[in-house]
Amino acid sequence: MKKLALSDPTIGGESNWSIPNYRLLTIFLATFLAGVFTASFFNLDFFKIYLVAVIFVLIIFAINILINEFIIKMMAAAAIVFLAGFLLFSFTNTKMNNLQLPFGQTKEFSGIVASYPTVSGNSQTFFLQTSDFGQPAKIYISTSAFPAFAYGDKLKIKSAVTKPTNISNFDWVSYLKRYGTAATTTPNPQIIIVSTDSGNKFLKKLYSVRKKFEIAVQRTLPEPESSLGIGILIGSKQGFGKDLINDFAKVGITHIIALSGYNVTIIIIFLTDILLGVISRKKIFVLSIILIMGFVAMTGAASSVIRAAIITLLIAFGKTIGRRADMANLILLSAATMVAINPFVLRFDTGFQLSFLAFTGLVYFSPIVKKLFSKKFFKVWPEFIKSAVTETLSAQIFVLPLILSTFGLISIIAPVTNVLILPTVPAIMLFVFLSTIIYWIVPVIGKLAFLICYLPLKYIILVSEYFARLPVAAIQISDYWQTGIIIIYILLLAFIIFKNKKIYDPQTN
Amino acid sequence: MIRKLTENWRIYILIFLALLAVAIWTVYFEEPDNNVHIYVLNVGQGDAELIQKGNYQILIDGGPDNSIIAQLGKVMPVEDREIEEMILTHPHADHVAGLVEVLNRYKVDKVIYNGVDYSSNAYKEFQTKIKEKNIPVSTPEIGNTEKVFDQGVINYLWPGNNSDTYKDNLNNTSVIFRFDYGNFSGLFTGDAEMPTWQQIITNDKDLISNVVFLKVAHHGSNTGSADANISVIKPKIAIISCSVNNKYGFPHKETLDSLQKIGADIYRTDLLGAIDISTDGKVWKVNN
Repeated sequence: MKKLALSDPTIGGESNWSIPNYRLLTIFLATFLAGVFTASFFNLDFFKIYLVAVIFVLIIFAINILINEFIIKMMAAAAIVFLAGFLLFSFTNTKMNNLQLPFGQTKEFSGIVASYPTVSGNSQTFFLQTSDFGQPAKIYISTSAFPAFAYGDKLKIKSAVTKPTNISNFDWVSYLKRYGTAATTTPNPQIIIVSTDSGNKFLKKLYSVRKKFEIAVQRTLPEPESSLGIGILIGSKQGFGKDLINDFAKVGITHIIALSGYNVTIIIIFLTDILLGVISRKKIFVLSIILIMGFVAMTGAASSVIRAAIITLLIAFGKTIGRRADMANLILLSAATMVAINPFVLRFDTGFQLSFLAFTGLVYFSPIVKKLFSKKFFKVWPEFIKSAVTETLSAQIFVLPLILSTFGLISIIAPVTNVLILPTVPAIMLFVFLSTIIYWIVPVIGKLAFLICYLPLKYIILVSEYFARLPVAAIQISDYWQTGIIIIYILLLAFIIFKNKKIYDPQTN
Repeated sequence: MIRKLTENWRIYILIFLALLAVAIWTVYFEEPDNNVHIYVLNVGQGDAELIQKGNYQILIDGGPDNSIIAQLGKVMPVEDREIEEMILTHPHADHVAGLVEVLNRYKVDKVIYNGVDYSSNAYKEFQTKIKEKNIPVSTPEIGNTEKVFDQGVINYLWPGNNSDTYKDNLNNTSVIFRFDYGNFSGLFTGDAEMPTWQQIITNDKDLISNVVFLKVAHHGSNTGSADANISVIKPKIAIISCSVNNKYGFPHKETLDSLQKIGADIYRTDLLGAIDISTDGKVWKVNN
């Protein structure tokens, strides 16, 4: 973030090991993340390893004092940062593993609904915060859809408390740990509502806004268009039929509803580019903030959306000051902060990974894509459309390998369907957002406005249904091959960026 | 910036109107024909039927979950967010659960159900929602008739005030009615079982004989169909609503045999998905 001018033009060359301060920060942030990432592969007990770590740190300090060479000192410091990340993850993990609950016993306990309940089919799921077992604990609850619970409801539950186990090849345990939970109950526990006025007042208000938003869309648009509209805007698969989910996976567009928050980033980039010529950068920044705040409120401040909001603000900020910020540090600092708050997001939260990949792609890849678009054929395109296209495209190219690995199927038709569908996504987000606001003010006009949203939503569904029916839309390939393809893809990207290194270097901009 | 926006307000309104025009025209071309349609919707292991003419809908049951909403989305006009009549045959979850979400999302003008007491979460939610939204509720007497559309008639055959007598088995409190539209006739049966059928055959044999369409009772269970009632009803078209590989083994072989014996065309939602019968009151056609 500090703009340090480089006095030495040979920086980065192998012959010179001196590194500017801002690059040191980059290295430390990256090693911290690497430490957390590495630890996430081992289910280590913090209290067994921390002594080893202390000894390790002492050795490093000794080396540091004894050897007076910059590169060694730096590596020693980096090792400590790596260790910090490693220990942080182990500690959080161990804390959850050591949760003392009466597992396997049927208990009566009370607690407060601590999340926005998710409804699908006949059931709803949520997290319950309880302190009836001697320590604060979060418990994952899955129960029938009726009666519908809400954030802040105080419930009395009678059920066996159980330890979750992994479901076939889905890492259910880690998924729950990401939400700070290592306990669940037997399905359909006996539940009685005690009261409805607990919980954080502010969050309660936010969730009620989100509920109002969902109701507005659901009351004006038919299914599956309403679920798609909500899904695109706030990133949820709630309310989708099985067939449609399968179709989306087959044609490779699941990411438009699953990326929780990443879409916000896209729309802000898009809007910024379009408005860049019309109003000043500063005003765009202010406008982005207002839009993002509205968006965060509307989606009930889901952590994924807050994350996207932070990233988006960073991008907007970067654009405001015209790319003079060191984007690598911005990316890493925000990632490291979020990981420090919850170390599980780094490896077990696809939304987190996608957001940062999109961000990275945007910063490092878009100049390269832009170069392609400077060809003669694109000369006639207006500048703002060109940059909107190049930036959204580069973000999407970057997240593609992760999308492929996350959503299982390799969709052969994906490039075609994505080209057909992606341009409508920012438009839909904007229209649904605006229509809802109009609907809240003047319902009659709002209903008409939603009719406009209906068309592109229907279009997406028609396109996906049509292409999903093609016999070679998608192939299921083994994990082994999938990994191979993804590695090749990443290498290709790295190669392209490396070849074009000069373009994105902050100093040459 | 504000000034720039206000200077351009005419353009924004024009854009809005242009998009609206496109939307309205598209919706217009999606408008249904002038026929009466009876849809037996594909809601999995449960029951949901919709009688629709133009923008007027009568929804009978809602299936076991929210899949009803997507099914309605497929067959109802896009801009129509109103269901004129909702009939709940009986309070079992595979009939009532989906209706709760229908009440959340659509404006429902009136509800008809048997009003029996039954404590289940879905049924309680259904009753709470109706009360919350002040929707008029009625329980028709046996023999009550109701005019719908231009020439449609609904004729209630069950349960009237028999609910209390039969409430040990809620299936026998199912609202049963005959729907007529010109030459077309249909029988909607809920989950009615043989004791109910015997009563109806005794009292109203004429009204159930020789109908065009039968929603086969109780998802094709042998408790709801036997030669005794099928040979009286003698439907030309028999539709069974059930899911693939359901745990009850519906439809039962005895039911299929009875239907085959009288030569009915059998359609099943587990094999075909939603089924649409359309009629202009003179001829009818089954689409799926």
